Amino acid sequence: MSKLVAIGLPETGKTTFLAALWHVTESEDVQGSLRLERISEEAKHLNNIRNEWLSFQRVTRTIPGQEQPVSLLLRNEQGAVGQVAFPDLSGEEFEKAWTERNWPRIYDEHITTARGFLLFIHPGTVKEPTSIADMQKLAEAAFPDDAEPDANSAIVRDSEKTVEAQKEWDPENAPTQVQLVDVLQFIYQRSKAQLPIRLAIIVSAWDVVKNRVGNEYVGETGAEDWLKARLPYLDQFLRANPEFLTVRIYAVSAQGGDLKADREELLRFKRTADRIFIEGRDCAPHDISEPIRWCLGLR
Amino acid sequence: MATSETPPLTPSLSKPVQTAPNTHIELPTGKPFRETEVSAILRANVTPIVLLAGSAKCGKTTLLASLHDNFQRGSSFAGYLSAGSKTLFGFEERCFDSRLASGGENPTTQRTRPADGLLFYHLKLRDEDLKSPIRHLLVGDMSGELYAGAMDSGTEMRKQTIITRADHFVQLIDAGRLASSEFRGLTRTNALLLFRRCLEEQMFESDAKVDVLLTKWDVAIARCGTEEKAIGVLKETEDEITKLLTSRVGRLRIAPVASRPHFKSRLSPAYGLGAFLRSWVEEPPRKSAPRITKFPEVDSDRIFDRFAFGEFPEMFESGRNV
Repeated sequence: MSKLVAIGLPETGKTTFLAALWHVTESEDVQGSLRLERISEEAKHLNNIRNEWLSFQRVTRTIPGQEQPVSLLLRNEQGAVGQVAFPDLSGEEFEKAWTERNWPRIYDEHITTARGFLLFIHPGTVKEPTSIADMQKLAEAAFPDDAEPDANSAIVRDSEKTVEAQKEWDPENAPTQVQLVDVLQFIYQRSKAQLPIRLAIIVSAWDVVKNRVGNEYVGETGAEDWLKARLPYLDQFLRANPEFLTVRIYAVSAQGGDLKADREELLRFKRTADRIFIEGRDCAPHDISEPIRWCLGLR
Repeated sequence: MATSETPPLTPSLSKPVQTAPNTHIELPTGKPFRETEVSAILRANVTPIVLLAGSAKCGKTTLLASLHDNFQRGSSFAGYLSAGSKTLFGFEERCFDSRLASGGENPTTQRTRPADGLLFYHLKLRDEDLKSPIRHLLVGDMSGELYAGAMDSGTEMRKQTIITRADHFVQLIDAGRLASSEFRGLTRTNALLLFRRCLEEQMFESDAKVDVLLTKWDVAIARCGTEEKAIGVLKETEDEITKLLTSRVGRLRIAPVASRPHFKSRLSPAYGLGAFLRSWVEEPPRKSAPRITKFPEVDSDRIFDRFAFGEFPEMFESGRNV
């Protein structure tokens, strides 16, 4: 049975995605979506997060150390097609792989045996490689009257300055794109799957992107363009390694919008699953199972 | 070898390699390599070695950090995509002082400390059109103190056999200081002295490729007022280096660069570096032709075996060439 593994740093939308996926595959609210082959033996956590999601509440973040690994067995019209595992909903193990350079054997078993991966990225939690020079430039543009008129004097003066960093380096603060590339390298090294491995990138909370930049990233290439602009190092890595990874990128909003600001609008949908937004190749409206279908090689 | 005894590592590098508990799998450290560790990469891939040398604060580490940083700021750099690196952790540590997260007021780079000796950073690059395979590059960062020791003592210089083995020997000279009447004499004398030592100790073979990078070009221009004047001021030093080396090495190039120009400068980030990076990557290594012999996989729980397989999977028959 083919297995997919969901991975991602903390607070990247894995739990909310799982709540919506559990609902869609169990309820058959979305026509044509993958279906649940059977209800998991232990479904308390799944039901809890699904209830929160159905009640338009923020889905409770998974607390490190208190989570139960979750796995959904899915089927299409012909029968069982594969399972998707969420072994690290909190994202703690994923983050520690970068900061502490190890991961649990049980997590490793998931990684080594997975045929494909769902990688979650949240636009609101991306750490960017913002430099001091970037900020100096922005400050000068914002307050042109305060700018030193003689550029040459400023350059020479600053060249003789030695200013020590105020903080010690903490690998947790490294840019998101670097952390993701390094963990993908670990996966390449550990995986026993046939190459190339399918990787579905889920850019979650897409409503945040829409609210911030309007229609700059729309259509099937919207999330791809966003990734190129915001995470260029990751984008290069993905483009440079086609022998290792086949990639599709999806824009997803499992909540459909801001639970406070857009509440009235969200409540108007006839079925709760209609509020799910997903965009990407071959995506039918609201079908949050499409990335899984593609990752399992059903497209 | 660089030194007969291994110097202690920097605070972060010297943190003991924490052995993961049995419940965990160790992953590669991501830290820069010591000289003794690079043979695994050389064994598996055609990997040119670039050696950066220069006095303390001449901009070596900034150049190195800039090579990594520029891939994070655009869709490509010098026509290459970044295909990964074995030393991302080390690169990030080096970039930290220039980042906003450091809380600093001016961008600096955590310099290579004396105890670091010689550290190697790894880049995996691929042409944007993907027509060629992934290329590897190792960039050696020689601490200013190691450089000073080699200038002061023939014995110390002879220990730096990496100079002879490197595919590209790169001396960085602070052009901002060359453009200053206060610092010009000292800067020029030291730069020439290193080359004389290298020649006298026969560190350069006849096919050696030597690059002289005049760093902090933005500062040189600012000191001189215009770029034309800066070129004029630096010409004397360039002529002396050319006269000294031209007939003694296979190729000599001298050019200005600005790895991280001041935000008020008109120079673009990594000014002048792209062309050098391309030649370092594209030109075949002088000596280190790859050997493709690999070890059979060892089914062992010995810490050394686990470390070797985790850090250098390409050395083993079953390992993927990360």
